[in-house]
Amino acid sequence: MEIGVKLYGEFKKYAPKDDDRISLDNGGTVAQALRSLGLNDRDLSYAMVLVNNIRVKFDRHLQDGDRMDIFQPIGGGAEKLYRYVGKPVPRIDARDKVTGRTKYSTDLSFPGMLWAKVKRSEYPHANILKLDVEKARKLPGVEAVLTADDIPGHNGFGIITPNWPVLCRDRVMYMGDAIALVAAVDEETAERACELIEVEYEELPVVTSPEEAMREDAPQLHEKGNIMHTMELRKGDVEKGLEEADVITEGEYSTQFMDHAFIEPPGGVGIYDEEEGILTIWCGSQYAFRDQLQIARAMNWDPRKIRVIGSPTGGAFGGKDEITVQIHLALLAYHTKKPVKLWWTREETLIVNSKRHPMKTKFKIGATKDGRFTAIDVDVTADTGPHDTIGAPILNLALESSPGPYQYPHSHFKGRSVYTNNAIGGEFRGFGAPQVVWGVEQEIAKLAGKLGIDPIEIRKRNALKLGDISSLGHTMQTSVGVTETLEAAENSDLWRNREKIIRELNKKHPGKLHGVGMASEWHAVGLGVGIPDFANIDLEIHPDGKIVLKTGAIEIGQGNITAYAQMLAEALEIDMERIEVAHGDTFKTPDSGSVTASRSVLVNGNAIIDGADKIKKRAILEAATILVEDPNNLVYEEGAVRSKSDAEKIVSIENIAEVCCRRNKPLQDVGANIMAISDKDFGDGLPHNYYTFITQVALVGVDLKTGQVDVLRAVSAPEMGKAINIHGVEGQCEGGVVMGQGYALYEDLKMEKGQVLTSNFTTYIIPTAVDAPDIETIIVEVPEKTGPYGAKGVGEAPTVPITPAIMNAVNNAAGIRINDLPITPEKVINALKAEKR
Amino acid sequence: MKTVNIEFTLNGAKTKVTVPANMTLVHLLRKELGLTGTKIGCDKGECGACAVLINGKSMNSCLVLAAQVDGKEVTTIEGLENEGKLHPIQEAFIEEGAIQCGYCTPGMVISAKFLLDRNPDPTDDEIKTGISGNLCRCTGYTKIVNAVRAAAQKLKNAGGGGETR
Amino acid sequence: MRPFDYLRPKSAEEAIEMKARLGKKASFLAGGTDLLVKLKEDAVRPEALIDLSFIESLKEIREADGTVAIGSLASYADIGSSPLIERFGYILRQGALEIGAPQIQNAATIGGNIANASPAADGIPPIYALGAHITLVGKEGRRVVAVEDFFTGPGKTVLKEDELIIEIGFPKMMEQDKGFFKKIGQRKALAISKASVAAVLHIANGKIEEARVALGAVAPTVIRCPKTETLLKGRKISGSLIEEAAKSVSSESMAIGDVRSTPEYRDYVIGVLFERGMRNIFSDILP
Repeated sequence: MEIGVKLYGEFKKYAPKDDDRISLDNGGTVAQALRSLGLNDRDLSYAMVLVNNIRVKFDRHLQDGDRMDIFQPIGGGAEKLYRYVGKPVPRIDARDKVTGRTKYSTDLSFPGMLWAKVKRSEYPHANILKLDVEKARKLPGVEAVLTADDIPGHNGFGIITPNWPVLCRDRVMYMGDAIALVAAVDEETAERACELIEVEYEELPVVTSPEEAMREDAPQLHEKGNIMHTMELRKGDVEKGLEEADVITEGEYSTQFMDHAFIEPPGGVGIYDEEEGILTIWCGSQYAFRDQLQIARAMNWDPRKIRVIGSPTGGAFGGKDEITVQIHLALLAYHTKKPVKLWWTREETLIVNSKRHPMKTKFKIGATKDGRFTAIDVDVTADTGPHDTIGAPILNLALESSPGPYQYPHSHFKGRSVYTNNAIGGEFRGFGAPQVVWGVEQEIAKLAGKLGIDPIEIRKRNALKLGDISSLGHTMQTSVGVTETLEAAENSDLWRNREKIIRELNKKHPGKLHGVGMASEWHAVGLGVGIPDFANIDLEIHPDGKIVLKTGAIEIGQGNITAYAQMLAEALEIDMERIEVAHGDTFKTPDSGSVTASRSVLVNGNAIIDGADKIKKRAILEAATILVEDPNNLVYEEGAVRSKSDAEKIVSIENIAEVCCRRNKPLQDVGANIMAISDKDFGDGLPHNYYTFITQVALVGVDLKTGQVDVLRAVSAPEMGKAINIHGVEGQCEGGVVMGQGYALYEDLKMEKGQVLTSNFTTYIIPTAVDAPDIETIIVEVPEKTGPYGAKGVGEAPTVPITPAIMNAVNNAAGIRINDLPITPEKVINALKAEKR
Repeated sequence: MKTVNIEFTLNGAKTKVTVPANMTLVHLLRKELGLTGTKIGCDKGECGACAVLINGKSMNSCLVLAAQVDGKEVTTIEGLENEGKLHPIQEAFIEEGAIQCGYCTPGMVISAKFLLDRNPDPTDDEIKTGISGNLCRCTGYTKIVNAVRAAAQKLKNAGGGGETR
Repeated sequence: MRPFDYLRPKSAEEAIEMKARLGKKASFLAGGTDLLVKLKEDAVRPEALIDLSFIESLKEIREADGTVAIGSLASYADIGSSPLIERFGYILRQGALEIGAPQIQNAATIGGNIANASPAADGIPPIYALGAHITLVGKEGRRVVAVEDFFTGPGKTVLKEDELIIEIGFPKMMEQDKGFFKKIGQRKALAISKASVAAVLHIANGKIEEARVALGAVAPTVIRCPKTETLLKGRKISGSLIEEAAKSVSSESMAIGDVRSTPEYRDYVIGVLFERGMRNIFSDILP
């Protein structure tokens, strides 16, 4: 086959003579092409290659007629040559994790430690008429039984509105509500004591859905009624926009409760140090500093006397941002004056912890004949359960996410989040987006079908670009890679060769039909206008050469701590091995905000660069006195300060640090960043200023007889500005694809009259290795100038569009559409039967 | 007897303990012996985070009574490292980027070892089946499968057959 | 888990003697994969456990006089890797390898699986289809019960208080026998069956001389399909016969709905599983 080539910079020397093409064996890879041109290992270690304008990995297979641009990305070239940034650097916590040495908060134990259990509600909605804990208190081995009477401060917690009771006094509103706490010498005794707690209930009618809750005669769950929150946004005139449309598509969709299913259930240990008056809580968390404040509010304490250590955490996905065990541990540790451990069971986790909100959505989208969107009208109703936690912003982000990364001249978004006695709707990777993207990306697929336009083409025609006014009305101020991710997906082997792939699979597996589908998303990064969105870091250069970075951010699994070390090593131009990162400890690290909203690399990264710049400036000033040189003639390079004119004059930062220590002014500084915000303020945290863009493609097989849907292959093309750690970005995409697959096919926290029917891992089904598809990640980079090394964030987006991409693939295969998640074989069979009729 | 005296080999060392009859192996390891590398994710045999090798066979230690390992050989994640040298499976997990939150990792490594001890040259499908009893929520399994495949290659290159250490 | 006494007999005789002495107060512990979950959930409260896992003689898989006998303490991993089972009872191997995941197969025993009597157990339809007998020994002596007569409901069996399942025996599948096990779960691995089917067909002169078809997860116990078996008997294999039989299988299914599936889907899909299994094993003679 023939491949077009163009070489840049020093690589020009490898250009084929008198030609801009090379011949390559069919199926050859980029690496083979580079070698055939004569590039050596060293060249390959930093070459950057675009195939048909898309940056590719070297194992990418070329096709006849492809065009390669081969860059040498150093000084003045396309991209700076980084030593750590953009590389698949092994994680700094990997060795301890793979040897079992890492101590998660649930691994800790202390001499004389008590075990705690929580007495929980036996009804989804009831008044508590009487609570008698005397028998439990008398059980030998029981050291404390606490009730609402034992809470010194505010009996409630919640990231936005603290109305989730720490311990219920008068009324329980869902099956997870806590009534009393027990601490005993061992787990079994604590369990027995819980059984001895006598509660007399008066059952109340159970509100099982938002529709029911909004009826006039519905029991009112809160003083303000059953509507927790409403939000409405408008741009232009949606009616006019729909009138201008040649084609209109409409649909209604619904989604289920989804559990985070992190593998470490929430838990931890609390210790009260009587002498110092300090409470220490180790717990799985996403934001130790907020936990500290929420504990202080409930304990009526000085937060400075409360130490929370929240890192590392065995998976979170949004499910450990809210309080789980923290306040209960604090109460028990303070009352017993002994170390106390509380660790939820898996059943407790599935019943108690917050979930992805079920949402019912309605879409109406208009388009012209040539596939330009004219208007979008969206209506969202969310089931938020009995307590607020962070339900309001989730509804808001659902509205912001609902149009997708496209241009609409007219738009209208309206939503409400409604109280029920179901499970609690709360924070979950995607934050309201999966529920709406599930609908909008099917509607766009339907539109494309009606108009006879390729599904990627119709999205490209409407794709947002830098500087555009968004569908909500704010300016796209930061990097916008919608078109790039669409093109990357379009150029993937799976999309390009889909017809052949489908044909061959259909031939090989009679009885099954195969299909390929795609979907895109924009996913807000950061907390939004009006919400403090900051990070602080501390940096210390030690005389022994060690460099300590302190951040309040928590390592919940995604590898942010390693990404920080990479960025710091890059900024200080030093070996990464020298860096130690302290994280997630309110007494040892500064407040860096929550690890949430795909924000932690962007805002901590900028804080790290800020801190490194200060350290470098200070190092130059200190070096000036050591080297006796004009600071203006000094330059910081590769972990040392040297004279521009005298090669002999050089001093390393550790030596500078040593001098600083002797002078009693250690070489240390702080770094800080506040995230830049949008040019508009729609209230309530909307809109956002940074977005991850992503396109995902799925290949499915639909078994026409059993209705089973298998996801065989998936492609993710995320645009996150700049990838700091290649393994990290791929890991987020791979994990996101399988989480979105679980949402699409298997996962469903089933509720009946307020009871959870799927409270263990044999009934709440998440994908296994056998279910997971083969996954390809094509990293698309559109560097953002205000991001660290061009980075934005990527944590959430990969879990979102894969779900409608799977449905679009099922539609491509079998011609059916299912509007309510998950797509179970039972529903597929019914849809196939309906389709036949 | 409400308590049982047992003697077993734990990561190569003779271990004698008296355990309550109703104590599971995972609690013996974690609470009594301080080996917290073996994790608890569900305590009902549904997630594999507590997998250990008993006489070379992988089992969920939450579904085994401590009393049942009397006279047997138990290997936990802490027993794979040999004098500071990581087991090739552990090396491969690090190199391939197969670890995120790390909570499923010890169980995954144990399942991989059980697989490779019996099948030194597994297909990808065999690898996936081999780790199908271990749930992971972070990685989407891609890099874990890559790591097990790479570990098989490492072991082959090292010329080892049969047991992987 | 609540406290209990732990007893460790060295032989089956000793185990039976202990059980006879303690009666209802004691439970046998085999692989533990079901019992420990029930103990943790407080669904059973035995005062003592009699641990069978040290009785090596109960773990043997052997052949004798045209039958294969599996000791009740044989694990599903043992069964899945046994050449005898592979040769003479491969449908049980297919079932064994579908149970949970390797860690579960290494621990779970066939005797424990049978005693637990879940209608969805993947080890049970194959032994129905194989025409197995279960040998029980109690203080009154030994008795042999046909597998169909053993189960009386979900979690219920004819086991007496002092009886222990000693072994499971079945006639060898011969060359003219064909069979299969098929299941469908909520995901591809580590799944409890929504529906499962096992069948063994004895073929002579191109005709089905005898058929045994067993269904899992669609009735209070695993069930045989007498109507379908009669329908198949004496007939020549053909696509239309298989379709007819598949419909009959669906009609014999008596599924209920639960969190895993609906009764309609189960009754329907079990016919599909049957048809697929039949088409697989007769792929050489079907068009």
